Amino acid sequence: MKLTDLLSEQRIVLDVDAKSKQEIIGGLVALVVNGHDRQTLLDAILEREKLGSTGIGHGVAVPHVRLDAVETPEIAFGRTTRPLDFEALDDEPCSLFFLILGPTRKDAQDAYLQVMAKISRLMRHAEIRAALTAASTPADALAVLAENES
Amino acid sequence: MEESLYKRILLIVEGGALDHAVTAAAAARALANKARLFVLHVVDHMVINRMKRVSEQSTAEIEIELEEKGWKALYYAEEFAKDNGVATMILQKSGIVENEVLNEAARLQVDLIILGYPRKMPGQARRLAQGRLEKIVENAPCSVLVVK
Repeated sequence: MKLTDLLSEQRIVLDVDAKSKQEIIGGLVALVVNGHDRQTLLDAILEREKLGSTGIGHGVAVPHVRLDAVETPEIAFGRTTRPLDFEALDDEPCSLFFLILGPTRKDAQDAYLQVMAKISRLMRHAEIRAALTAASTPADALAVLAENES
Repeated sequence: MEESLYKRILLIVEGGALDHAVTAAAAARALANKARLFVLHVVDHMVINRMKRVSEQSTAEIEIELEEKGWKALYYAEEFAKDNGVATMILQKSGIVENEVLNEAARLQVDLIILGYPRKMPGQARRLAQGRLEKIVENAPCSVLVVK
């Protein structure tokens, strides 16, 4: 499963002027809300965040949640104008965010974990993070992921 | 009774067959102690060097495979632990496993390290695992629980 099959330009937002974790997550939820109840989704993600930050280091966060209503993994990507305190383990504030919705079905778990693993693996590379930080448009950001994913 | 002996637990996952058992053991301990769980995977430089000798894959391909396997193991552990109400955070490091484990144990100020030790391993793998375990147990700033 390719990330770029699950992510479209319409699910990418750059230069979000968010001031908090809740604001950026809210902004990403707005991109994937089709067919889902926005508040339910937002509450579920924030509840999950309370159990531990999804900041994975190097200024990247991957908030994620599984929901019954989700059939296949869904992804949104956002970049903030300034880094936000996301309580990551390396204490580095985050400016690159991947929101991931996953299914609760047991037979779909492997695909869901693979999506998160792939994103996290890509984001360990400074040059990919730099390219996403420099992307001028959602199409550019998508191209960065497409080029590096393969 | 082991109530609240441990407040910060470091679980080591390896992307291997034992991860599910070690994760379950760590989550249970964390829940019983109301502890925070930190899950660490180390991309093992020694494994990369060994795989390069026996595989036609490039170093980059091997690293990608190990990193993704590691992240899958990390996210599996995180999902499992959070599903059980355990406060959990995950991280991946790269280097010599025992060194990274000891560094993170000190940095995160954990009071218990939990890791797995496979029962059956071929010769060289067993010697490496034994050496690694010995170094961690001898130098850890806290107790170490080994899950077999």
